[in-house]
Amino acid sequence: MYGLRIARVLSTLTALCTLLFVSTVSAQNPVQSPNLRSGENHEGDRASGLQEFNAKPNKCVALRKGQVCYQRVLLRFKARTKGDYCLHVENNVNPVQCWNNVTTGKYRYELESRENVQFALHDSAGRVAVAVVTVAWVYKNSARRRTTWRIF
Amino acid sequence: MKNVMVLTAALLIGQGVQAADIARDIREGELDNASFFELGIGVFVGELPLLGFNGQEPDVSGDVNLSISAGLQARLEYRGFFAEVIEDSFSDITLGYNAYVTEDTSLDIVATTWFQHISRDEYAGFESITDRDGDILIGLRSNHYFGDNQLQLELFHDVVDAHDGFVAAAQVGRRFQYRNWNFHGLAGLRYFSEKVVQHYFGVSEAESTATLAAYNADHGFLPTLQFGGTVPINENWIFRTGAEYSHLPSTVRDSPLAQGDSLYVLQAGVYRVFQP
Repeated sequence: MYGLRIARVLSTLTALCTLLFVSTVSAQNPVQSPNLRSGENHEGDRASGLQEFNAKPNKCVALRKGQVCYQRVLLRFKARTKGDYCLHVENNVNPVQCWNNVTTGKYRYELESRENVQFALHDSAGRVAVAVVTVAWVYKNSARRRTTWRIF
Repeated sequence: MKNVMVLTAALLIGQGVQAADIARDIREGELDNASFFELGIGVFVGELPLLGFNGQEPDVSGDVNLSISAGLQARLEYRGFFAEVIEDSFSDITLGYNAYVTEDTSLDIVATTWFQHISRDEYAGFESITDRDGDILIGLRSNHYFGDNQLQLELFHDVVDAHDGFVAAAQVGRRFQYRNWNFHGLAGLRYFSEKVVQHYFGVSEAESTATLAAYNADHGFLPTLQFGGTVPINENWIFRTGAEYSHLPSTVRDSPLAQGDSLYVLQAGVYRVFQP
C-alpha cells in the first residue's frame, strides 16, 4: 500500500529524468505568429500602418475538457503612425479599451472561457487586426456514460 | 515489476466508458476514454509506523521518511476489462471488469491487492515473527456520481489464503475548481476483518518471546482523509500535490508490531500525461 507510494525505485530516476527532458522538448507548443492581417484584403491595406498586434500567452490550458480556463493575457499593439484604436473581445460592439492618438498600446485581459477567444483591434474605420487565444485541456475527453449491462 | 506491467499495458490502449479508482476520479475527473498513462517525479514525505511495511525498522517511531522518486499512474481499458495503478489509492494493482455503467453509477468486478508481503525477521527482537504473505482480493467496486461529488464502495475477500479475511471501504469525495487549479477532498473509512488484522499485526504464541508478547488482534476501522490539488503546466504536463492522513485502529495500535498511532504522506510532483 503506502510502500509503493513513499519508496519509489530510485534506480529508475536517471531514465525517468531523460524521458521527462525529451518529453518537455517535444511538448513545447509552437509559438503562434501574431494574427496581424496585412496585404490580403481591404482590412489588410488599412492595417499596413500597424506593425504588431498580439496576445501573450496565446494559449490557456485547463485540466479537463469543458472546464473554464483562466488566464491573464497581455494584448499589445504597435503602429507606424499615430491613430485612434479600440480593443474588442469577440464581436462585442463595446470595446474593452480605447486609445487616442497613439502608436502603441497594451491591455491586460482576464480571460475566463471554455472556448477560443478572439481579440480585435479597430481603428476609426473598422477592424484592422485580430489575435486569438486558444483554450486547450490536458484531459481532452469529457465524461460520457451510457446505460448498459456488459456481457463481454 | 509494477512499472513493467503498466508500461506494457499502456501499449495496448483501448476505448471505454468507465470509472477509475476514486482517488483518481475525484482528483482529475472521470473521463470518457479512461485509458491513460502518467509518469512523473515527486517529493514524498511520510510516516508509516508499521514494522516491516515499506521496510519500516523498529524503534523509529516519529521518524519522517523523505524521498524523491518516480511516480506512476496508469489505466488501460479494453472492452470493459481494465488494469490500473493509481498512486493515491490504497490498492496497488487492480484488474477488473466493468459490468454495469449508467450516467451516475459504475459497478466493477475487481481483483486487487491491499497488502504486500511483509518480512520482519531481520529486525532484532522480531526474529521469531514469520513472514506474512501479501493478499489478493476479489470483490466488487461501485462508484456513484452526484455532480462534483463521488461515492465509492468496495467489498473484497482474500482468495489466496493470505489471511482469508474480508475488507471493505466507503469513500466520499468532492472536487472544485479555483481558476486553473482543481482541488479535491476525500474522506474514507476502511474495514478490516479480524483475520486480516490478526494476519498482519497479530503475534502467535509460537512467535512470542520473553520480550515480545503474544497478541490477538480484533477487526478494525481505518479512517482516512485526503486533500490535494492539480494544476496544468501545459497541455501535456501537470503539477500535483496532496496530503493524506490515516488514524490507525486500536487493534493495530495495540499490536507490538505497530509503532505509532497514525500514518501520513505529503507529496508534490510533476507528471507527463500520455493519452490515446
